[in-house]
Amino acid sequence: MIYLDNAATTFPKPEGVYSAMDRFLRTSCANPGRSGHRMAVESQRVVSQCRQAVAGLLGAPSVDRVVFALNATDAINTAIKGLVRPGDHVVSTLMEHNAVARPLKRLEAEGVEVTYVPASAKGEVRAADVIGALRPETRLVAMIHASNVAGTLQPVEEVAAVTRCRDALLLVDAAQTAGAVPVHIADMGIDLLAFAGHKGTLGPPGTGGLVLGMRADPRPLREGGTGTRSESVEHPDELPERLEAGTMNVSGLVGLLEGVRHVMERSVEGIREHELAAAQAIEQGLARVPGVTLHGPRRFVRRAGVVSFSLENMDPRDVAAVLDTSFGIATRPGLHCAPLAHQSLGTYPVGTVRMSPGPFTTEADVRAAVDAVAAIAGAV
Amino acid sequence: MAGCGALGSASATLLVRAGVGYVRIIDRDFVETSNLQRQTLYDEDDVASGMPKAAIAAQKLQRANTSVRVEPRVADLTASSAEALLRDVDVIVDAIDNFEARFLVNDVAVKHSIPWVYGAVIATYGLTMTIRPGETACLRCLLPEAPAPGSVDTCATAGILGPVVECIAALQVTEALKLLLGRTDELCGGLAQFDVWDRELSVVDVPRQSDCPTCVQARYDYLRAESTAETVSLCGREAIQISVPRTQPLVLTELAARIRGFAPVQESPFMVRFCVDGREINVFADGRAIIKGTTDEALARKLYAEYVGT
Amino acid sequence: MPVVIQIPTPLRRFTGGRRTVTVEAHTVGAALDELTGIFPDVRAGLQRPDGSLRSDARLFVGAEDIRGLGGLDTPVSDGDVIAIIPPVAGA
Repeated sequence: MIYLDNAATTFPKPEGVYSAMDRFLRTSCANPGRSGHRMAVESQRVVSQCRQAVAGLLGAPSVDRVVFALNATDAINTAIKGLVRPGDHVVSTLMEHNAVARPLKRLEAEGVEVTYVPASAKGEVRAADVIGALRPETRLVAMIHASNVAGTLQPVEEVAAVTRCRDALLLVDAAQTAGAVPVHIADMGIDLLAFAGHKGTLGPPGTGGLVLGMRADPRPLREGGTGTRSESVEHPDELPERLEAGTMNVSGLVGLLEGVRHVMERSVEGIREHELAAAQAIEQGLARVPGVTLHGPRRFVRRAGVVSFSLENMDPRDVAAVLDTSFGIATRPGLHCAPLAHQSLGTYPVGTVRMSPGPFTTEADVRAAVDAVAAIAGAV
Repeated sequence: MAGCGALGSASATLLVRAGVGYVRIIDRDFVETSNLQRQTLYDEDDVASGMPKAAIAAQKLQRANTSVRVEPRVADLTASSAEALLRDVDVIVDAIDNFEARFLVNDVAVKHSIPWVYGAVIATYGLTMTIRPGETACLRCLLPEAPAPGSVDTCATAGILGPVVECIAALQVTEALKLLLGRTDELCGGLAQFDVWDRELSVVDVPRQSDCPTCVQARYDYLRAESTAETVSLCGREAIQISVPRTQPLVLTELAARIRGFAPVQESPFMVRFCVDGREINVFADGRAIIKGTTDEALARKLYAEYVGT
Repeated sequence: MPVVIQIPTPLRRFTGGRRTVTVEAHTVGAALDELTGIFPDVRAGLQRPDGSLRSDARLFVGAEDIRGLGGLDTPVSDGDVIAIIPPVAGA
């Protein structure tokens, strides 16, 4: 199998992820911060190490402002619903994934006003348009860092330069970028950053989190056991416990820790260079195949390593099924949970075929993928 | 009655009229005009009514014998539903149109020691075999695995002549009545094959297989959903994808040849595409299909069973 | 030695409509080779693309399943009848 669906989740994981999770589940898998015996202490230790590693990778202002969650969607829900109240105004974009679009839709029904800033046909949102949509009562700006459809990197820093001087907080959906594109919350002026543990950070599914800047203080959506202050029925106020009710996915975080370590060893810049080179090679190859249309920006500067294309006279779902069944290549067709983005790109409702290389994609994988698309195009 | 199409119409009628005290009719389908040539319980009004087959059958048969309890179940036999639908009856009469559901019946029957009567028809030909778990060969002693998708004729690709349905159903119900009466020593052993056109009937012996995964090893692969098809709704315009866990590859050219008999086919080395009833069916080399124009998984499974075959 | 192969209805379109085919052979396998030599299209009903016997095609000599005899090596003699039972899906 040639795996080109790394934007959905990265595969394979670094060898250390597999072995660390296996070892942990066999030897130290206790409930962290609860019991005090040596296994529980060991569990607590890996959670802390993982928190430190993530804080370092993403430039968190302090380690306790890294809050773990089920996935990026879970983190985004905490951010949006924990901050925005009826009567508030939110600015978002027409490039969002459903992880942002659906919670906002729900809040709109509850009396929150949302302004959606349009994008160009290449999927680019202009910072000036986002800034222009800000109002005195704007509570939150929620935007995706890199489009999961077209790879377009949005001007997060330009927006942050303005929001950091206003009351509005900036939430960045970094599901596609954390670990794959350099991100530094403190330096960039981001207030809340949601990440997926199983994508660029190379951890297992079921991991992710929310990193909070110093201004952001969302309410918890869940209360319960935290292992701290057990004497009180009041949910604790301290971070990160305040936003981490219930037993954590410790085995997942063990894997995430190894994934982040691998990223740090290779460096985010190194991985980005590798993925962009692969994406660029795919795009250059596909551009020569008759009948192929490429979507999204052509430049590889403001761009994550995602290639979206269509093949003339063929449903993307059929293209992906043939790539899988006849060539053993995994890609993702359709709308990629981002109907708004596809509307912006003009590819709604048919969608596109997306090829997303990862840290382990080889030149041979790229050649095989391009050759396969050429063979399919030739047989239509 | 597992299924109430052609064989089901005939068998259910005979069972209810014979006075079998309780008859449960399980079917997921609705009546179409093309069914009427062989599915004798239904008529043109039923096509127009849009009522499910199970409900129509129960209503009509109840009038034939009010002393019998006829219970319709509008349901798809799947790994998650089969046990609840079948485990509490004395005999199962097979009137199903696909192998996957038949293997599910076999799993439930063997697991709960329920005798069942296998029956299947195609063109002018049919087969039947009475299966008593633990005593006789089971369906997987006969067929270790389902045929590769697209490798067998289906009611849609080859058609079924009405009279053969009545003959096979008559043989099946006779066996079912013996089972209900406890006259097991009078059951006809073996697998009977019958061609109504040539009036040829022959019987062969099917031995129990000492390594049968189901009736010897008690491994219920279909109930555990290890061998059943997975359906997923695909995003974009309405479409359902059906993936079948098969080791045998589908031969696309063979499928295309079969379909070409009744519908125009677009064929490439990688896929076969054709349209039926306004729905586009795309079949790929590993037996997977994407069925466009519906979001109904049961309908997609039905179309797959009818045109590709499992 | 002449043996008779009974062709089931679903496979008769590959044998020009013939219900039986008589071939000279000493084993079931050899008889099938003879059959597919005369009617190559029948192969699809009996064999996988790689040439092995389809697991869903049952073969009998007289009333006996060849799996209980010697498989494709089961000997056949003058006048034996080989029956093929194909998988049937419809209802």
